[in-house]
Amino acid sequence: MKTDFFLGIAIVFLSLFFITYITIWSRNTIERIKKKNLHSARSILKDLNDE
Amino acid sequence: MTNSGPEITSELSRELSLFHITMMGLGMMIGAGVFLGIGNSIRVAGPGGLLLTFALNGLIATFTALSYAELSSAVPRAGGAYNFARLAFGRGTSFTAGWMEWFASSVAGSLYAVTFAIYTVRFFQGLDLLNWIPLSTYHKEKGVAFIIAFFFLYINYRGASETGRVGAFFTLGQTVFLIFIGLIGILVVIKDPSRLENLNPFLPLGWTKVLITMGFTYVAFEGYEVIAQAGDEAVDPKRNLPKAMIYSVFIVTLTYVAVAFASIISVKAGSAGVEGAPWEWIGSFKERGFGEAVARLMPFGNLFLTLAVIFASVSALNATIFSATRASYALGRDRMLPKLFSKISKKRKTPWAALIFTGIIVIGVAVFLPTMDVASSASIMFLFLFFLVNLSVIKIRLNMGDELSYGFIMPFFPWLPIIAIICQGILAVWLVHMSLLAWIVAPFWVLAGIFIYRVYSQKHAVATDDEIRVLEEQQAPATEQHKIMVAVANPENAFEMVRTTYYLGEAKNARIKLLHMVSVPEQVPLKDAKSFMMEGKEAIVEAMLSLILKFPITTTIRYCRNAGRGILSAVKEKKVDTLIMGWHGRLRSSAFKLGSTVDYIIERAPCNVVILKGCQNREYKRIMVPMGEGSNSCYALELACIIAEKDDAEILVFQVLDGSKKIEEKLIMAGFAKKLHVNLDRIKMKFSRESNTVDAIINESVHHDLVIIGSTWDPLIYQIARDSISHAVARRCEKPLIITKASSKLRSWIKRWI
Repeated sequence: MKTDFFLGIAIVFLSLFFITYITIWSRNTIERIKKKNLHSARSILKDLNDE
Repeated sequence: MTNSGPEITSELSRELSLFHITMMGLGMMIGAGVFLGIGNSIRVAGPGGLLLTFALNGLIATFTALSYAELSSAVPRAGGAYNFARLAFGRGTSFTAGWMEWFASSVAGSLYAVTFAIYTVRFFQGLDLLNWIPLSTYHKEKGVAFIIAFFFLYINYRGASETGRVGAFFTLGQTVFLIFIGLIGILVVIKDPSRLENLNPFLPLGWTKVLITMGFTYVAFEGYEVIAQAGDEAVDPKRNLPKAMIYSVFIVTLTYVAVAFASIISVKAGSAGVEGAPWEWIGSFKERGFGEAVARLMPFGNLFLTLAVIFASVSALNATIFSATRASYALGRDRMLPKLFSKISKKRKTPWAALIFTGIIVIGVAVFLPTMDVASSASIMFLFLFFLVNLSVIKIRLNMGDELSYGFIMPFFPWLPIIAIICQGILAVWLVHMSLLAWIVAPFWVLAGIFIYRVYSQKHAVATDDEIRVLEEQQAPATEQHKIMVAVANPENAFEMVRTTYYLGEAKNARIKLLHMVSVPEQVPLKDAKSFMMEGKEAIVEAMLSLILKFPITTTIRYCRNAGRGILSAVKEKKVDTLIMGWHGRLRSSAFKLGSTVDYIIERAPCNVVILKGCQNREYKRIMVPMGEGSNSCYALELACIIAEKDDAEILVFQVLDGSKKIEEKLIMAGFAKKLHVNLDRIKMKFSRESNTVDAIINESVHHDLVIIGSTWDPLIYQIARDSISHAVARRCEKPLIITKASSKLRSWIKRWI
């Protein structure tokens, strides 16, 4: 039972953490693409990779 | 006499801000799902199961929201999933997507109208304010459902801004209320930590029950479709649409988890009126469980909850009417449904006809049909749509990633959409246990859609800017011969490709297909593309005159927005074995290795590819083949042997080795003889131990009059990180150069289908 509790709570917090991380990352990426006036997926990936 | 005045076009007004569209997404999500779902979820899965349900559903919804965000940023037009499916899979699939989307959103709207009616009638009957109406409760509810649905149809007719403002007002109200409940829950636990005992046992009925509760609460996460529908009306859509989708899922997930937590700790074990464990007590009220929990958590909880449900129902109703109307408008705009659906009010700038037909479905279902079962079928269709969107995001990024202008791209591609597809598949299958009728209604609606598509849409649908159309085609009789396609760009280019095509065609006993892609600029409507044909015709005629005496030839002129995608489409359609095309050798953007078209073709073509750079129509006597490992180098050597046989040339196989590697010339030559069946007398070998492979090849190339090199092409993710030897050589080599890429049968088959 205790295993269920700790595992369950860990999953809930990891999910929320991941969603928060994705949200912040996405916001930054959108602004970055807009600021640098990038267009194609290739040029965006290249820019993200160069970061 | 004809009217030759200026053409007047109608368009939707672009008035919805980031706040408006985020609120529209939230409005569609925070509907009946969460209010009815909490009591049932805690009953089925226990307190821990309730928290896991909303957290995991939020995670899966985030994955799909990322797919929607990426696609909406690249294709910010009204239509949502319908547009994405059209771009990825063509008309038939996209019509089915739009058709399902229209029905799913309309019926979801009916559900929200009925939910509003039930809670409102109960509330006013509790105050003895409706007793003067001589109707049964059931008929009063149906009457209120009709009035509220009609009211929001009118609000949608008034225009986008009004729609957004009214929806935003209601959504803000309900979201603030839910966040308030969550905060109270946290404060109660801080004050009385013993209430955390309510989480024990965490999963009293086991982990598998969480899957059930995830299935029937997933409806509370379906909000990004309505945001995608606002593509034509959002301000700065490339930036605001993806943001709104991701923000709305983020806000809604945190809110749901907080509210679920507040519900769990709302009562203390053993307090007055609470029988059994707190989770069992809340669960015993089923759909009303959340209401009972909130009533215990705070004063005037019942009143606040009724207000929240009313807010939630009307904002969700507003959002679903908006979404359904835009879906049918997009079908009308592309003539998949009659033109009437795309009519826009000159005064209000809203699609009035699409709104009327949507209204008929919303009101008809709300008033006459068993809403819960039909709403389940709407959920199944939403899930089908999400599969399609997740598939579309993969296909569109792979096939059109270079030509679309993205405002956002998702991380961990393609793993997140693949995970979403698997998870949503499990949830959709599980809905069988919730409503068998849903699994009858949903296929019936889809079959009706297929029938309409066959009878009407297929004949009337107009080509969109993204489609490729054949302008002129002359066919040769079909045979099983090797098929070589020569992509001709201009007359000069055509001439230089003739010799290689001639040699390869003769060696393979091939049929030749000459193709000219007419790239039409975005500013020019596709219907005017015929004015671009002359140049293509000249090039085709030039090449044809040289080859027609020897080979059966097919000529095609096509027009498209993007040459790479157009060529690839022709290669797949004609089942071509070898593609020959020219490369001018210039690089306009550092984002590409050899240019947007050549990069695209080498990456995607499901056939052998031969790229010619600076080759003249002359004989070559000294051919150099830089040899690496893999099939592309072998194909380069095979081509070198074909040319050498014709031109009586010498071939130098050039290999750069590591310092420690042993030279085994005889073994390598024996390998060539076995694999290529060529005359080894023409081939000589040379080895180098220079540290820089590219420099070594470039230095050696000056002694030869043709270089043939196999492409060393990596998947996209690796290309960004490093340059390949063949790219670097191709860019620096000043001698005539041929780049080859061989395609295996398996790889070719996969590429033709993906």
